[in-house]
Amino acid sequence: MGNEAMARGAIEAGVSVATGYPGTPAAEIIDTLGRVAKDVGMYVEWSVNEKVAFEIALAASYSRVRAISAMKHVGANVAHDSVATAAYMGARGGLLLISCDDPGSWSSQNEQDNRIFAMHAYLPVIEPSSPQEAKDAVAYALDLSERLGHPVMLRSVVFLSHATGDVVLGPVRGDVNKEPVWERNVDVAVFDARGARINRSRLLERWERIREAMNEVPFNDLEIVDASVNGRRLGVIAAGLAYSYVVDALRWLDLEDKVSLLKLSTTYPLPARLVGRLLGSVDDVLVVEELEPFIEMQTKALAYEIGASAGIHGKKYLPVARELNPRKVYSALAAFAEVGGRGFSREDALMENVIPRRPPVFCPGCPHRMSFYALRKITRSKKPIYSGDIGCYGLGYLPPFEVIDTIIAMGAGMGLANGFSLLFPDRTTIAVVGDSTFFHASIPALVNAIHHNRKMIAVILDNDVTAMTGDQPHPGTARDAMGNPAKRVMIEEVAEGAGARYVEVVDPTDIRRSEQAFRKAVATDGVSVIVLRRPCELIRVREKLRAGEKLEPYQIDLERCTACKICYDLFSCPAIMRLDDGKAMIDTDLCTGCGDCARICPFNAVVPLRELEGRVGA
Amino acid sequence: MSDDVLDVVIAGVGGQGTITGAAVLGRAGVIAGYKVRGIDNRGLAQRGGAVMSHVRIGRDVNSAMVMDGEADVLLGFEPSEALRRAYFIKQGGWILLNTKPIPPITVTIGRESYPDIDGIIRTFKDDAGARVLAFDASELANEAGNPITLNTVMLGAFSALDTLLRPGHLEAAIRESFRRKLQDVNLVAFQLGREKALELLRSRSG
Repeated sequence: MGNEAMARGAIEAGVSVATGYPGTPAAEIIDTLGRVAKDVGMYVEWSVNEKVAFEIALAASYSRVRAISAMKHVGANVAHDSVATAAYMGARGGLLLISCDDPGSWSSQNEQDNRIFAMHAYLPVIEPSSPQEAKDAVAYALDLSERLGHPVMLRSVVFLSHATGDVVLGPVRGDVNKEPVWERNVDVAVFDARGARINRSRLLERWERIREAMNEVPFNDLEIVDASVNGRRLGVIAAGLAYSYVVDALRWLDLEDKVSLLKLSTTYPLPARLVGRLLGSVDDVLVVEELEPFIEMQTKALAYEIGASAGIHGKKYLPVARELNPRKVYSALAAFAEVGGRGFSREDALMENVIPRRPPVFCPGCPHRMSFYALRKITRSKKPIYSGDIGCYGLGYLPPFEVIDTIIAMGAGMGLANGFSLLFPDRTTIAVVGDSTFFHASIPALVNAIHHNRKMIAVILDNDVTAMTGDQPHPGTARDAMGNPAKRVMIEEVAEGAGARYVEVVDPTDIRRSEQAFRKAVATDGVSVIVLRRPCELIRVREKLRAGEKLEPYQIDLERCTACKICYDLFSCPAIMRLDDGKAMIDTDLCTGCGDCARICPFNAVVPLRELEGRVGA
Repeated sequence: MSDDVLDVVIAGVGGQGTITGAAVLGRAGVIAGYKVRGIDNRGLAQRGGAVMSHVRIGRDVNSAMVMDGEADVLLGFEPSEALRRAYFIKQGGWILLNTKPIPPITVTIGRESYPDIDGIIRTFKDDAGARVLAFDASELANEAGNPITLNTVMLGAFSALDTLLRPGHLEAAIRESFRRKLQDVNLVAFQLGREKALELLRSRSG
């Protein structure tokens, strides 16, 4: 996988410190390193959030050892405050920020293009085109960072991070410094007005050397051909992953040897000499890049500067929104070169078929299902405003629960609740926040609500891990990224310490107690914090199977089932099916044996399969 | 788009083992000495959402994604999900379909309806111009001894097709991909899928 390849690159480059906060599509980089940390002599950390993660890497770089910090594109926003000044400070040990962007918003709230983020923060950007190059680029970028004394960004995208492919491994570097060195130097590390001004000038000087260095990066490749298509000499600039689509599409269109091609990996700042040479050799250029016309704009500016007259095209042929794919690139190249190519009417017709939507659902046995079931039951009459947050529980906005009203950004659930409780004091405002999200960015908003005496309820769904991205630990987990024991920070103690009026910890399986807690919270004047604590079912199941135990599924006793629909319409476990007569049936392959449906069934019709079989046998 | 590349799309539901199936297929490609590219949309894989993997095997493949209308084979782990991705299959390509439906929540709670399986197969044949082998692969996985072997049942059926990969490449990939404890059950599942597909192929030509 692309992310595993990047992890390998960090190992080969002799990285000492690797940090991050889990987010798709970046999570597997730190996951992979965490598993091998002890073997390769690396410190690996899932930090409380991206800002702290980056700051740890920055401290490592300042102390002359190599560091990477890996995060998803929107995660980098959280780190931005420190990243924006890191380029002023420069790097001592190689410092690499890996940003995994999500064109298409497959698992994100937006599809921001972090190359623009890098431009704002003065970070040179390298975009690999394949898993192999992703590995090689991580190692190269760390060398480059150290050589230039400047942090570097490696920008991946979801379909590179999650791409698989054969990768040839390289040797692990043995000549990299791994001993941190402390050298106080307030000139480069203290950003008062004086420091900011001194380092701003140094940054701009360094930037000239960086511009120059971009021309030498080996992942760029320019091939000029002396040929024309329909009377025009054509060129293509293919950036990062888009290069893989371009190479295939040129072959399919039989344009391989007829179009000049710049494979571009250093997308900021542009390698001016390479781009200039291409512009001087063709009549028209098509820039193939995902998301914003970032290279297109830079190329147009460069063309103006050097007086090149080639036509420069990009988003005229390719969409700004969503990810690129072979078809979009193939069609754009065919239109650009005016060569026809195949049509897609048969495929478009097939896309018109009516297929039921398949929204993701809470897994069988997921504790969130019980939490939302109880929450909806108790609060429905109050018509509360639910501000949700990012995590599995965000699925609570979908059928059947449909109780989450907003999902904006990590920590925004608690922040928006501050606003809603101010604007609608007579309604109940409920922030629904996960455990990892609570630590990540919700604590300041909770403190703000308590300080301003808002009347609101914060429901913290604590399943012990960052479940959405693959069970990574957070400050409330008793282990760290490397599997070492870690101190658990208790959410209820944070809430009590901050002065919340009413704090309660409940197991959501205990539906009577959670209903009581919600009732009490609704009646409380001030901030209530209810922690619904029960580990992620995937972990329970995995541990059980690993211990050689069997899951004990439940089944419906059809004699007792009255076809009331509660278990599939309102509770909606994916293991529960509806029979033609309206009664329920459990798919015992999917059932984890959590027993939650047995607790909510008003007719006691859900019983352990074994018991039912025993009865039939008797 | 050329004879020396094998393009496969796998469509299913999170939890069905599509990603592992794709990984085994890719490994078989490496064992056979080809370059391999693949992609999984994994974000919500574990939460019962629609999932899809692409695997491209050949002497010279670059894109990890299969182009619309260019897949040689579509492995449909679930009927409605296969229909959702039918636009990838090329004219005359093979669709191997597990006929056991997993109704999505929108159907269970009565908001949308599930398409008729025979209608899906007709769409594959008439509108997509594909060749179809349809059978209850979930049943075969149970018969093999474990429902999670659905992916190797499907790969077994795939091995009956004439592609760049030989059955031996796939069996070797299965041995490399699973812990010893799970190898045997997966190899049994592979055989069951293979025999079923061979039987269906014989009845097609007969």
